[in-house]
Amino acid sequence: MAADIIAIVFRTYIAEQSIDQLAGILKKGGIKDLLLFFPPNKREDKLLDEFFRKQGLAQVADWWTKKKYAMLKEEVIKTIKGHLEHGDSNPDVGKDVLGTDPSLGLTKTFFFLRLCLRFRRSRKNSLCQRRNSSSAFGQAL
Amino acid sequence: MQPPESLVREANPVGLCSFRYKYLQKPLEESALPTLLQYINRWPTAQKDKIAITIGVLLSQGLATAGCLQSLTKDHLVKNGASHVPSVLTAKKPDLLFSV
Repeated sequence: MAADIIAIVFRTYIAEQSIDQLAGILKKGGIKDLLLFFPPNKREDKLLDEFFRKQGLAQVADWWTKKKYAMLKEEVIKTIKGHLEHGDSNPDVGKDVLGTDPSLGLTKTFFFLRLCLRFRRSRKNSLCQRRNSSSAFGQAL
Repeated sequence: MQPPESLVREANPVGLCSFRYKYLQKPLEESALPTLLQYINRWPTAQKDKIAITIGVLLSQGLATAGCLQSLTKDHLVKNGASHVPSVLTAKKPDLLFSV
């Protein structure tokens, strides 16, 4: 029932204002998790997405999904940072990042791979720079 | 979906009042709306829809904050069984029931 009422409130709000403003007032009002309006056995992002789409509130569904992905990304970065500070081995880091929740596995893998790629690229760049600087150093000599 | 004109008209005096008497806005946000929403499961469906639309109008006009929606997360409103009271039961007419 709470979800139905929330849907009506959102629909009325969106008729007058934009989704960004809705996100703003929810944040200001201290409502961080929309899943709390759903029954405990239906607190899944997929079901929430489906529910809002069915109610004709695709913007809310999109906004929530985007927000969830941003949260996931932050979580992955935090875990990796923690491991790097501790100096753990790579397989351990991978296991910890991917192993917590099987349903989130794919998304997390995606972020993890992107991070790995970015790390490799930055390392390559720094190596190139070092090589260039050393050759420049040689030339200077 | 645009909110019905009648509900916007009903929400206007509330807005004007809280605009004129600024001290009324806080009680509206912190006690009146949350308490109404807390017992919303006892209301007939049509009135539930009305109050939900009115709250949407109040929110969009900036007359209340979204904090009042927090009371909807209470267990008795969220659990499965509380989901929907059929309007046939709430809109029953005693004459019809007893005439058979």
